[in-house]
Amino acid sequence: MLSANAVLFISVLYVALLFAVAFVGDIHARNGNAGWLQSPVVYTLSISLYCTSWTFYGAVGSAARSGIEFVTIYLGPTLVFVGWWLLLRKMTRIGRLHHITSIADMISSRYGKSGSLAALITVIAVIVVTPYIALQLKAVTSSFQVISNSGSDVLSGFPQSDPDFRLAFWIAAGMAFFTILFGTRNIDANERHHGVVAAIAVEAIVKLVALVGVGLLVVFGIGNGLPELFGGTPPANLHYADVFGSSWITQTFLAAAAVICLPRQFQMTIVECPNEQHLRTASWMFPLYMLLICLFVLPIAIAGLNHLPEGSNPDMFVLTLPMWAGQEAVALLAFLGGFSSATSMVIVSSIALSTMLSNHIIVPIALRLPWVALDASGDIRRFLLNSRRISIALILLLGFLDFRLSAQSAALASIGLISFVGVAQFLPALIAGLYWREATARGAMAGVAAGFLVWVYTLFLPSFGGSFILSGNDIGFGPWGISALRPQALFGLEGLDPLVHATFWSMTINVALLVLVSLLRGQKPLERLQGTLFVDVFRTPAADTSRFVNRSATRYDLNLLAQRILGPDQAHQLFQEAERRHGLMRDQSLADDAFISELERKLAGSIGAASARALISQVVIGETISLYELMKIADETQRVRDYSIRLEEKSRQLEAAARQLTEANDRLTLLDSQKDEFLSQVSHEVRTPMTSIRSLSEILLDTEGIEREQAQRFLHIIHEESIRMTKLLDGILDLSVLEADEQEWQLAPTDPELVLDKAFRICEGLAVRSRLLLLNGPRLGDGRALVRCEPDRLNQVFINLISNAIKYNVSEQPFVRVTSSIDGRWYQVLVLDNGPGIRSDERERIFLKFSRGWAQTRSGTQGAGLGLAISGQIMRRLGGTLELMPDQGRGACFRVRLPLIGDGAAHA
Amino acid sequence: MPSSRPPDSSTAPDAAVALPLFGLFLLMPPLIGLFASHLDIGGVPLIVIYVFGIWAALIVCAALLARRLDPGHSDDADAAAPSVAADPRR
Repeated sequence: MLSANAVLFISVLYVALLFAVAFVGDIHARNGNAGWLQSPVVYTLSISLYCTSWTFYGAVGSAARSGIEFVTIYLGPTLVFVGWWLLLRKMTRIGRLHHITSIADMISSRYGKSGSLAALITVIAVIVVTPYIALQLKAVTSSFQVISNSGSDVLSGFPQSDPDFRLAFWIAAGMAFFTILFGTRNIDANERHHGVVAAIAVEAIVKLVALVGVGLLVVFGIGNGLPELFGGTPPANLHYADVFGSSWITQTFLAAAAVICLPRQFQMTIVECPNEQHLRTASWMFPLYMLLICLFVLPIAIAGLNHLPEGSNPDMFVLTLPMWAGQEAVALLAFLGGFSSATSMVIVSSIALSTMLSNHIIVPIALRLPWVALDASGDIRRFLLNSRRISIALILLLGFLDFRLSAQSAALASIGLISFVGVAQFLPALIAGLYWREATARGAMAGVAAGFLVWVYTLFLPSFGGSFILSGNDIGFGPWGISALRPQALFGLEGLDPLVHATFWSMTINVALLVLVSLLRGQKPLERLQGTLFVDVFRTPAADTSRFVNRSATRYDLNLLAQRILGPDQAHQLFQEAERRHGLMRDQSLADDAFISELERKLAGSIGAASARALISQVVIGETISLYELMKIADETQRVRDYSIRLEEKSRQLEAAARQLTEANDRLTLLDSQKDEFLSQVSHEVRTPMTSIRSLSEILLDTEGIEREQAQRFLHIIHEESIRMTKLLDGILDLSVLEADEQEWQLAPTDPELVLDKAFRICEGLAVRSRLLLLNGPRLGDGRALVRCEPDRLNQVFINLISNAIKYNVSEQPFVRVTSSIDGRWYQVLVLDNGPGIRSDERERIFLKFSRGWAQTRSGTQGAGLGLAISGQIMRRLGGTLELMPDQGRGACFRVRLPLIGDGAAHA
Repeated sequence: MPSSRPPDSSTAPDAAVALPLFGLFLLMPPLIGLFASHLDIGGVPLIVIYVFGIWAALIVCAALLARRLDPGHSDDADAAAPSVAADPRR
């Protein structure tokens, strides 16, 4: 037998070790080398505080009473962690981006930073978790009394006397001291407690070693292996299929909900998560931890049933079996394991609850009280720390009082499951918040509140067995004898296990109200914004909020606020970082929303989103949420549509650009070939006269005594050829000027008839020399038409056309007729001849350079072939046209057209 | 297990979703009721071996799958960008 003093001494020693570990962990983290504290293994171990003393002692008790059913409590969390990709990944990402401090904070943040929702969840969490804390105190106290029992009924596992409340009080006080010391050292923007995490990890190892130690002793120390064990007295139900009914499903569901929604689990899994990558390890390591914990539960239960006296307390088998076997060291280890699991649960639960209490109840109330001068100059930081310390003490005091009042109530496991049903009420609001954009704060409030009330009525009050509010009569026959209201057979639903019954009704009403109220009433803008940010957390970075919210505040006010909550050092650091990014700000300059949002998120990491928002809005000027921007992102289909429209537009633009490029390329290729052709034509044209000039001049030079007459003839030809070449070069120059010079010509209103008269007179001489009849008319007559043109250029065109007609007319009785008239809004001139005409295959090319449509000329001299090309260009520049009229059998007819200005006839 | 596939290959997230559903199917009635017989394997009841076997199998699958999944990687790449950009030597 171990003496009470020895056990007490070892317990105190163990507690001292925990303090040391926490202290070292804190020091390391403070010095910035928290490396091992942030490893995935430590993270996993800290999550395993899921296994409380209820697991440690109660699982064996449950196994002894109802066989394999106890594993449901671990299968639920296993499925949640194995399926981390679905839910936990999203929760940790949101937790990191929005600096979530607790489950109440996460739900209220999602529903538009609703302060009342956060307060409701906090109140429920305190009511639900306090009995759970009482349960841990009870477990530690009774295990201490069992192990230090010196009476004859030592192996029964029941404490000899009444619970030792003095011991329980000091345990509670010690835990409060530890929690206040390491849990409220500072207001951290990330709300992480490295010292606490270190201690929890050590405790996780201790409880695993303890339970495995007891298990190994049972299987290999006492008995001869598993077959013999299972051959003995097996627990009830081990072989019957009726275990696997509604109760199996319900318990698995409740455990899965609890591992997400229990404030302490949320604290460790989401809030204290240093790195999302750690989930990867925890996804299999945490289930593995639970598997190892459970591995020996059945053997211990069976051995207890086999060896310990009839009627022993199965909840204490873990402790009494080693004592029965005389292994006091193992018994002590088992005691420490139970102690560890209880303390770690109580410590983290009270941290989580105190954060919720101070952030969602105390600070919001203080902000509304005029005499708590938080909005003027008060030190919010110190106020927060103190409120948390008081909350921790208060929670543990509540737990102790609860234990004191209900010391003799039901078995351990049932209290645990009752609080599981309580926290499961958060699950619908949480899941809907993460995956359903339309869920509203009102819906969440209605669902959570109604589910909680149903839980109180159908499970919590009846668990007191008629001693609290509801009498035994009320439980059995319904209040006022209304049988439809029987707490354990609500609306006549009989024959179910009370736990299944309560879970069914509370979850049904919770989900139904959440969905109905959400569908009936719309969302507020902030709810919609937060909903979108949460649901689309993998698509919309939190920094994006600044697109939707318009507000500003002076740097001075923001700095003051940050200092009061975060302390001067952190605030200074924050502002320095911000100034590095946004540029230096003066005290009175206005900060934009990007910065305010960042500060709000940082503050939310300390005091929760709702309070942070309340504080920020005290210093902010003119806040509006841009509904238009919000709606734009809120609607997923709209977003996808926008995106595809943008894509289409872009591809259309690209197509158009490609088409333009292809066209440009074609044009360039054409121009290039035209240029090549032009060059070869020019050289050809130049070479012909050059050749004759050269050969004739050579003859003149070389031939002695050449006849004067012949020499005269040769010189004449040379002269002619030179003139032709000069003309050619003039033409080319003229053309290139016309083509290259894109300047607008100075066009003046002109009477085209006068210009035509002038051209006609010039050409008359040529006609006489060519013995050709030049016919004038019928003409429009002077002063009948007015066009906008440059008279010299127009004259050039007319001369070119008439002289061409003269030169190339080789018929017997040649004539050229020039007529002019008005055709609609156009002034037109026709130049008609009775020459050979243009060959049909030449008609296409006649206006190109160096093309001569005529086979032979009257005079025998060839033109350069540029005249029509130049004329065509001139007419184009004048805004008119030059065309070859359709072939009419004999001769050619060119038409010049120019648009009339005003009413030409007015000048008549 | 050496894997020839790149991490976060397209099938891994799907498998990560399917795994818990598969586990749920195996561990929930009616299927689990089939194994609650009086059969013993090496002295241990079949149902115990079944439950713990499935449990262990889920853990192994989750561990194998975890190597191929990257929670940091998601639809937005900018979450990882700042840490890459911050090079103290520059």
